[in-house]
Order: sequence, then structure tokens, then C-alpha cells
Amino acid sequence: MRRFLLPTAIVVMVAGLAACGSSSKTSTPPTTSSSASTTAPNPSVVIGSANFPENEILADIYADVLKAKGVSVTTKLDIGSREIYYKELQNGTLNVFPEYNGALLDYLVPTATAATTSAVDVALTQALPSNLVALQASSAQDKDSVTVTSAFATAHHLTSISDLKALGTITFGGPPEWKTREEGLLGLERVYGLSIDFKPLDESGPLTIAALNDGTIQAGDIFTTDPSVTKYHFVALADPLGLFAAQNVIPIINKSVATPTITNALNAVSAVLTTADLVQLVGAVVNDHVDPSTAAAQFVQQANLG
Amino acid sequence: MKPGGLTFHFHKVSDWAWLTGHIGYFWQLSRTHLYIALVSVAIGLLLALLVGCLAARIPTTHPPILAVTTVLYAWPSLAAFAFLLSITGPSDTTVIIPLSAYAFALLVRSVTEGINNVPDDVRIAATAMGYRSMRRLLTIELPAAVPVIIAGLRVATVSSISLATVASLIGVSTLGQLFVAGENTDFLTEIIAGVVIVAMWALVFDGLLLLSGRMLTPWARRVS
Amino acid sequence: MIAAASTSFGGVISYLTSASNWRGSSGFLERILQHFEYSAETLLIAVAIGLPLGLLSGHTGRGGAVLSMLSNASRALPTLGLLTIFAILIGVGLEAAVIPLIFLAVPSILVNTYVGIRDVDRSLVDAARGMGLRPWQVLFRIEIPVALPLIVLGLRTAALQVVSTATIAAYVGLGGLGRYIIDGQASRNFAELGAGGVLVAAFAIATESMFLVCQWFLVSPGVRARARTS
Repeated sequence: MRRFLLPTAIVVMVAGLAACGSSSKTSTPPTTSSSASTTAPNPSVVIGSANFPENEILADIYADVLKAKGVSVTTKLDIGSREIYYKELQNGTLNVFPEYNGALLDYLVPTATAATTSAVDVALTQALPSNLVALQASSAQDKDSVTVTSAFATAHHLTSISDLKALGTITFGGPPEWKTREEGLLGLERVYGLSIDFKPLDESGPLTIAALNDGTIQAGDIFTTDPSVTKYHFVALADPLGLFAAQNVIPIINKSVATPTITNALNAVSAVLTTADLVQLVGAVVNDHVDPSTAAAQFVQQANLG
Repeated sequence: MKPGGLTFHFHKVSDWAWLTGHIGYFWQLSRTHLYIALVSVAIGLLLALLVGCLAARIPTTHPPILAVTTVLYAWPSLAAFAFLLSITGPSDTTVIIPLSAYAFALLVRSVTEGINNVPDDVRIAATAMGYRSMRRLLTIELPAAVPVIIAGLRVATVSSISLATVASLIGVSTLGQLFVAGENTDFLTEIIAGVVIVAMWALVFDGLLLLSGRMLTPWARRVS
Repeated sequence: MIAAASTSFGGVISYLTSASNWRGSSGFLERILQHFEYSAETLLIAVAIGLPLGLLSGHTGRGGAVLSMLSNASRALPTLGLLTIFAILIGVGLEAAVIPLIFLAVPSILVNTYVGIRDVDRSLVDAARGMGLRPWQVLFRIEIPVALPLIVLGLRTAALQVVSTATIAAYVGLGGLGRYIIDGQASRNFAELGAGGVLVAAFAIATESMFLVCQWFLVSPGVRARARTS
């Protein structure tokens, strides 16, 4: 029955793909510690990341430092916005995540008023569910912002977000989830009394940047560590009313993986990481097309964390 | 620690270097992508064969089946993915269920049309030879319907491979991830690589199906 | 879980029926119009490309294989990828959505038209020629009317695919009914997400029904009797 040869081959191929193609077999293979370890064996760790380059770099940094300590690591990168990945963190599918303290607090407690790093950290610890713990926050911050072009800022004498109120209704571009976020559209309207015509674009990506540059939007949410800020001379308006709380990079981990080895390794990252580092790393990925994992590896090496 | 942070040294990665350096990555994404897309088509085909045979044998079931398949076909996959996200999380299953439904909706029409288009004289001859309904269905009508079913399979497979890219919008890393990451970093090369690779796989499997169709039906050498 | 499903279902219904959601620049009416705009413009251009090519190729019997290959390739291009490319290259606008959708729509129209014309009974064509009809008369008076069921099927399939896929336009900041799906998913608002799905499905079914009605009127009864319905 020669004519069944090809179709059978196809079916076998599909079955083979089924056996080894399932996405649960993700990127990094787990490493095993070759030398005898005096500490108790660490649980295996699943690190997640959101769908923008900086968060991917951070997840890779965490992965590298943990692997160097002999922890078995898997990464699940580019999951999506917090609205998608937080559930996975909460139910334990992910057990380590590079978060931003202020943004996470705002997500958990929309009415939170803490603004400084220390206040936010305290409030966050209280707000987290019992199975999650916030480790040490780093000095590195990446905040959402209300950013305009320098030409626009000069023309309308803008230095702070409050100055925008005088312009009437402004077109504003940001990620779709900003529509319902307190540290987003809702806050801008409520706290600053702005009237906004919102255009959902992307996560501080080329669409938002292009829209700012060609005037389609008058202001946009550009992450403060985004390379476009220096490249296009954007101006992030000041936030005197503290709508955007401190947003320090902070490891959020599941209590089940809170062993001394793991917590110390992640805290060591927080101790070294600065905003300037983030700017450089993100710039390398976005402008030079360096791999996030390559950028992360260089950070770990330069900081002597590997 | 050094005040003001660390200094790094990065070299710009040329497009060509990037492409050649990521072949392993492309292959990894492809495996997940093809697994999801092809398993969906397989499930859709299986269900379509069952339901299609039913519809062909019991004509009264035809209108409700048609109505259901129209809704399944019309329902936007992205909405289905996003809805299932909260039930099955960002996993393969979340993507396979809607894609299977889509393939099923497409293939049921092919199966029923194929079976119903078997010439009456063939049907009559089979009955005259003593074939009973079920045996006739399976051994005469279904094989005769193969060209039409294969044609439907080709469209379903290409659509499935194309649609599986959308899964990356809900956190399942298929080849669509190249579009998302490329969009995030304004890296046109990455996006184009994604388009080319997806199209390539679609054409490969389309071609394989075309060849299979020809081999399975040596009596019908018409171009389908 | 059943309770959750029913409350979210109820949420979708109330989202759909609340009057304020229908009005305004992000209301249902506006987005339905945008969605219609993307779909209609795509189909008009796709017909302008696919129909003449299919008719010509079917009538002369030449170029079928090439066109079939091109159609396959066109269908194989992932719409999401093309959308992202055009959004970055030419900016967020109508064209960025329409061009990728055209790649999706043309194959159905082209291939079905070609096959429809080719499938016309040769004896009919010969008889027409024998009666002295010129080639273009044969095309318009014989071949097209007989091929009409398949041509309309091609149009219908293309329309359905376009309407359903136009939802992805929202990923690059455009409007249309996909906006509710992308935004609803981004903010975990199930009511909005479900409403978006329902609206698109309804729009698609309405489109399919419209084409079925057109087919009923356009196709002559004699051809209709012989034609396969699908």
C-alpha cells in the first residue's frame, strides 16, 4: 500500500512534534550543582517575566544568579501584562518575578497612597497574599510617566503634569490596560483633573514613540528607562501630586522558595542594580539588538554576582 | 559598590548575525507553534469526520450543525484565547481548544460536501452490490470524498498555522513571539523573519497535504 | 466555576445592553462602523484584484497553476505579522490594517472564481461559441452566470475571514470591534471581552447572511437547482 506512505509519514511527524513540541518544555534547561553542597537542596524555581524587554532582562539576571548558586531554574518569559501574569504568580505556577513595588501595590490596592520607596515597601508587604513575599527593593526605578516632546514642553511651558490642565482635552497614548488603572488614566483624571482622549497603543513601544514624534498624541506613557527618552529628547513631566508612586525593581517570590540561598542571591542583585544600569541594559537590547540574556549575563559578570 | 552603577560594553548586532545566531530559537518557537497548530487540525478533523458522517446520514441534523459551525467559525479566535486564559491559563490548551473548534467548523463543511457529492450512480451501485449503509459510508463514500476533504484540510492547516501566531498575545510563545518582541524593540528584521518562517511552514504542510492527496487518490489526477 | 461563568455571562449581557456603551467615540456604534470600514475597504480592493484575475485566467485557461501558487503563499502569510510590519513602516492608520487583510481575502476570491469558471460545462461554452457569441459575451452571458454560486462562495468566505480577522487591527492601536477584545483582555474586564466577541460573531453572521441572500437573488434558478450549497 505504497500510497499510504506519505500520509502515514505526516501523521508520525505530527505525533513526534506532539511528543517533544509542547511549550511546557521551555527555554533554559535546569542546571545541577556539580560540587557537593553543604546547604539543603533548593527547590526548583520558575521565573516569569512581563512582555517588555527590561523585565525580560531582569528575569534573566535573576535566573543567572540563581543558577550560579546551584538552583534549578526554568524561565517563562514574555507572558503579558500584570493583568495576565499575576494570577500565575499567585497560584504558584511562577514562584519568582521581577516586579515594580509601586505598580504592584497599585494593582493590589488601587486606593493606596504610599509614594516613597520605604512607604510603598511597607504597604506592599501588607498587601501581598500570605504565600508571596517581597524581598529587598533595589534603588533602580522604572516608572510610568506622562511624557511629551521637548518642543511641545517648550511651546506650552510645561514642567509638571498639572500644567497640562490648562490645555483642555489632551490626546494621550499608552498601553490598553491604562484605561482602567489608577496609576493610569483613572488617576490622571481624578488626581490631576485632566480631560483625556485616550489612544491605546503599546507598552512604551515604537507605536507610542512614533505617535509622540508625529503629534498623533500630545503626551504618552514612556517608561523612564526607555532609550527613546534620550534619543528623541523627550521630557517626562514632574509628578508633584505623587500619582506615580516609587517603582523600584523588587523580587517577589513564593514563600515555598524563600530559602536563604535564593533570597540572598536575589537581594544581592537588588543591592547592586541602579537606574543607570537599567537604562544601559534596555538601550543595548532595543538599540543594538543585543539579546536580553546576553545583556543580563554582562550585568551579572560586571557585578560579580555569578 | 561602584557609585552610579556599572559600565557595560555592547556591540551592535547586525541583522545577519542576529538571524544566524537565533536559528535555535526559531526552531524552538517553531516546535511549539507547529505542535499547537497541527494538533488542533488533527482534533478538528477527527471531530469533523464524526459529525460530518452523522450529518450526511441524518439530514435533519444538518441545519443545527451548520448553525453551530458558523458561530464557531465566526467567533474571533483572540476573544476565545483571552476568555480561556482565565480558565486554563497561558498554556497550550488555551490555544488548542479554539483552534480545534475553528478547524472543525471549516472541515465539517468539507466532509459533508464531499460525502454528499458522491455521484448517485456510485451509491446505487454499492447498494446493489449489497453494501449496507455504514459500510458504504466508510468504504465507498468517504474515500471518494477524500479530494474535497484534503482541499479543506489544506485551508484548515494553513489557517491554523497562521492563527497560532496570535497565541503570543496571551503569553504562549509561538512564532508570533517574533512579532511581539520585534514590535517591542522596533526590530523589523525579527518581524520579517517571523513572517517568512510562518509562511514557510504553512507552505510546507500545504505541499505535504497536496502530495498526500495525490497519493491517496490515484484514480483522480485532477488538480484540486 | 458555573457560578462564575453565569455571572460573567450576565456581565456580558448587561455590558451589551447598557445604553451608554453604544454611544460615544469608543461606543459600540462607532466601533462597528470602524470594523465595517476596515472590512468593506478590504473586500472592495480584494474583489478589484481577485475577480478580474480569476475571470481572465478561468476564461482563457491559462495561468491557473501560477495563480494557485500565489494564492497559497498569500494565505500562508500570517496576518498578525504583516499588521505589525505595516504599523511600524507606515504608522497606525487604515492602510496598516487593510493591506494585510487584502492578502487574506484575495486568495478565496481568486481561486473560487477561477475554479468556478473552469468548471463551467464545456458543451455550454461550445454551444455559445457556435451561436456566434464573442469571447467576452461568452464570459458575461454564460460563464459568469453559471459560475456565480462558486464566485459568491469565494466572496462570502473571504468576507467572513476578513470580518473575523479584522479584530487583530486593535493590537496596533487601531479601532474596530477588536478594541473591546484587546482592551478587555488587557484590563481583565470579562464583560468587555465577551461583548467584543459577541459583537464580532454577530457581525460575521450578519455578513454571511447578507451574502446568502445575495446569492439567492443573483443566481438564476436553473443554475441554483444544479448548484451545490455549502
